[in-house]
Amino acid sequence: MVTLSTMIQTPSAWLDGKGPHAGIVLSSRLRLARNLAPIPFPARARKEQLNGVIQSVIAAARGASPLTEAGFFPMNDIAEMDRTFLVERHLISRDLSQGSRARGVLVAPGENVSIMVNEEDHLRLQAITSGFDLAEVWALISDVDDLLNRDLDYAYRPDYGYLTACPTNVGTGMRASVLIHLPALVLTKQLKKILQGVAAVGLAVRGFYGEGTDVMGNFFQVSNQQTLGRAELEILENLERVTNQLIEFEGRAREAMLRTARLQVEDKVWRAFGTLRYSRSISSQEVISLSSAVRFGLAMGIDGLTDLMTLNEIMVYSQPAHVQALAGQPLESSERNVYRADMIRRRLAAVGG
Amino acid sequence: MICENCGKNEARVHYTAWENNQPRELHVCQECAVEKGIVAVSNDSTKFSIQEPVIALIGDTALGSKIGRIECTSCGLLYSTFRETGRLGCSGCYDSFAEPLQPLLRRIHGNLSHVGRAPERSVDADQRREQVRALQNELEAAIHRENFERAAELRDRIRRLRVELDAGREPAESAGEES
Repeated sequence: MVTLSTMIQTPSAWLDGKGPHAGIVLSSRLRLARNLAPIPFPARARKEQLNGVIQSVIAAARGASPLTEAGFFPMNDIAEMDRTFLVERHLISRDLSQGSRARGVLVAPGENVSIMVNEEDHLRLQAITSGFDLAEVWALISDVDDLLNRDLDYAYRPDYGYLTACPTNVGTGMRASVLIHLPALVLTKQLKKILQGVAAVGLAVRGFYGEGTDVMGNFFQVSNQQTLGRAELEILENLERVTNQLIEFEGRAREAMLRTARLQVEDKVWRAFGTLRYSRSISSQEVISLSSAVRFGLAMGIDGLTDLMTLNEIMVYSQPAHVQALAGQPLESSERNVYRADMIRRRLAAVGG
Repeated sequence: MICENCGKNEARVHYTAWENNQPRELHVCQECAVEKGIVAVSNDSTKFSIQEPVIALIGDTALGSKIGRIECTSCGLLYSTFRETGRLGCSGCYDSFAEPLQPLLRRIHGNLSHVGRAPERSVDADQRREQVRALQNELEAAIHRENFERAAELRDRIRRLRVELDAGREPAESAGEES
């Protein structure tokens, strides 16, 4: 059974850095929005109905192979710190972590499959995998969807498909996304133009780290917008084509940078690595910025840096709730910075960086 | 976040400085970072506006204000509440608000009919399976009565329903083959 303490000890499987193009695409994700036929959507359901949804989903999950060993975390019964931990883990949304209604998340071992219960919709099935592998997440999630559907009656109409609380999700209820690292396109100021092109084919791009419009770490999430009138595989193929093109553009921008400013780039990479490896106090924002440079260095094939898995783990475990979970106690911001620097030094030393 | 050095530009570079033996987090803009000789890989970013598009699309229109008082017959949600939150209350809202929802869905998705998976088990699929069974009984009766015109009609309807029922399963199967 998955518990919070096993989770903090075992990094999520998708951080392993082993998927296709894992140097550029951190992860591929998929979610399906589903509602149970006669029950009002969570925002308008009564407490007994919400609890009923939770019970039905847990019962159905027991018979669904990837979820038999899953752990359920009821939001009202766990500490705020643990809810933040789950947000940092990419398992729940900020919306699910807040509020007071009966809701929670079911997490399979390895964390590649999870279900948010009573977020905006009764169910949000989620799958995530390392690198650029939409076929893998689709296989995972369509399987879980079929298995749960044996026990659960989904709200569905032939004309509008799966019915959802927000009309932007109706139809397939599917949101597919890739988390892609585009430092060279950002540095060479080509990103804006390319992103306009991406938007023109019906995909949305947003900066991943940082608040509002402030993008940190050069990570971007590319996802589909349309959910009605296009079949799942068509949506996935569309996203796959555009992502392939982004990978190619980023690759070209990187080659150009290396041709004109190789020494400068290498200098920045090594300075970033040096700070991660030896600093005695470091903020989580600084970790995101520096690991962007090191990730670039790894993709360039610079020897002597760390490996991708360690870098991915450092990024996730540097976040505030993770640092405090590792420390086993609440820490002030300045204490966290010291603990974080220490944790990163140890991890990098352990892999011989 | 505003640059702590010049107080004007957006802070894009984040680092730790030491003052009086105390670590201090600094957030400065690109220009100040260059000026101060802080070397960091750029956090230069592209700005984009993130807004909730659905609320803008529901918008305030002449039609909208007239129908704001419509209430969902299943859950009692007012259309005007939906216009504020962008969230429907239940499956029944799709029926109760059918008229204003149609153009909204067209604005959001550009397409009005679902393509893709369908649940094996749903009230709808169950109803259709029931319908197929009823039509089959009727078909047998028609053949028995030698009313072949009616039988041909029924056969076509059953075929269409079966295709619809099967169509929903297709993506799952082809994905299975791919993986």
